[in-house]
Amino acid sequence: MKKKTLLALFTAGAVAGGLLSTKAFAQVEGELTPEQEMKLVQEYNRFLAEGINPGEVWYEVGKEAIKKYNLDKCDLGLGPGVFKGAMTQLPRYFADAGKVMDLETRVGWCLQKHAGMTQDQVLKFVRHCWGKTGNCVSEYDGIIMYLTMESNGQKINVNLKDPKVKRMYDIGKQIYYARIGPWDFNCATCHAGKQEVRIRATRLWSADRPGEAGNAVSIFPKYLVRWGLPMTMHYRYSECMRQMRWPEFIPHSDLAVALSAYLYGTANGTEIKAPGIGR
Amino acid sequence: MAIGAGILRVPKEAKKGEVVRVQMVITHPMSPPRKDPATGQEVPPHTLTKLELFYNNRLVSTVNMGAGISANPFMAIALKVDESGVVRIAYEDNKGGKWDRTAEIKVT
Amino acid sequence: MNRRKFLALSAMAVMGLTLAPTLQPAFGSTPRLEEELQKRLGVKLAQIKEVGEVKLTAPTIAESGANVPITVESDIPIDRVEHLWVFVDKNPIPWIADVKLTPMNGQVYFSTRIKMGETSNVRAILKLKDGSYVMATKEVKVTAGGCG
Repeated sequence: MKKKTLLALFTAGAVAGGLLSTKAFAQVEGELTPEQEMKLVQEYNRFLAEGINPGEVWYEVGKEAIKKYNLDKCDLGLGPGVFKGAMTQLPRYFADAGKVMDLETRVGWCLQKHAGMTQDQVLKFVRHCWGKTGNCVSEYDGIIMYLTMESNGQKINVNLKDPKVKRMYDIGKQIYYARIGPWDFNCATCHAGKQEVRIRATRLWSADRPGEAGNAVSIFPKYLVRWGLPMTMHYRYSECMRQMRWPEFIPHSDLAVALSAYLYGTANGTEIKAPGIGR
Repeated sequence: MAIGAGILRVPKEAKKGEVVRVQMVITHPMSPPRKDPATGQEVPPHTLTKLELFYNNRLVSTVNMGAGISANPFMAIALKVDESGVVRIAYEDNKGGKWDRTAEIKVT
Repeated sequence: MNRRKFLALSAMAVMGLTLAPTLQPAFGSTPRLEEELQKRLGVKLAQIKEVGEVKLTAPTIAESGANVPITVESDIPIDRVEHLWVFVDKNPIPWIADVKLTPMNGQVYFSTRIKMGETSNVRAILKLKDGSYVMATKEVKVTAGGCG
């Protein structure tokens, strides 16, 4: 078949589709320019952000869980049980653990130390709602939501002058730009560079454009409407790595801390605004 | 926290005669009837069915709903306040769950 | 098909489109929607007048059908309004929710987030105290979003 004929058939199909659809001749699929479609997707996201973010319910879940699991003894770097503003300085070095840790890794460490969980139990706790939708409430998600929201309105301020943190930042950056796995993918494939990258009508943020990493990470945990639950940063890492066909991601691993050091370090100066909301 | 927990949000203060917005989020799966992909068995729906909005114990609005409302429902309704008082929402689901929450508005 | 034939066909199609509303008043309705309207309101879609006083705000594109934010507002004084319904024509169950309103509401206002199985019209219908029905309609296109 000739190209022209194909095109004609396609257009005729679109017109017929318009007949069958209700009234929206101007809204027939394919009639929107990519720019128009992107604007409309942004409008959808704006509408989503109005009203109460259902993710806020997890704040209360976390408040209760922190008592239940003895986490009021947990030191996030500002002293045991001091949570206001603690998120802003994470990841940081913890002398008691001898390691740089981000928020989630530190909470995992505290769950072992103060709630008597084994590492396996912690991982199960973390993954309680992974892969589920609609009616799953995880106390771990609640804890991370509560601890992050306690720093809302304050600016991310990761201490990159600490050589131990800087070292994790550098490793994280290397991982971010490392093409690995069967599909030769990396984080940077989608989220780096000065050039704009899109998936369908979504404009992807880039770590190489000022402010964008900050806007991306400062809203985590982010409530995902399609699953009806909040996604923590480590769940995000896990999903990205699964999509890139990388080896299985282990929450609270040094890999996660390195990525957090790079991303939150890059995000320095951005106000924390959890929870975000998105598709 | 279980199903039925939620947030009820109203302005703390309002002027006499002002129309305010009563906002709420309730944790609920709002699941439609479906077939379990693993067992092939019918899973009955689980949804909120009714929500009543009261102001100082007077019924203002009744919302009827089903699985067409998104999981963890958000709703906002207008309320005219002529006097200080207590906003109460009472809601129930198709499995016999009943809950309520209150919030106060001071009319200045 | 050559270009001329195609143009002729398109012209016919467009003509059909402009004529359709007058030939078929309930243009755009679905049997499921009519059934639900009959059951819950006791009227046909054609009996409901589309008016500017009812405002339905919804996104033109929704990247997730699981959650489509909608807001219904109206300038019609609250003491003239009795009830509010939200329908999605092409959902398995077109009825989404309905709200009994009273003068204590002060104003017609209802906002929520709804599920949509596919691209469809969303309708906000008000029953007025005089027994008549008025509505606002908005098409929402449900698309797949970016990466998950």
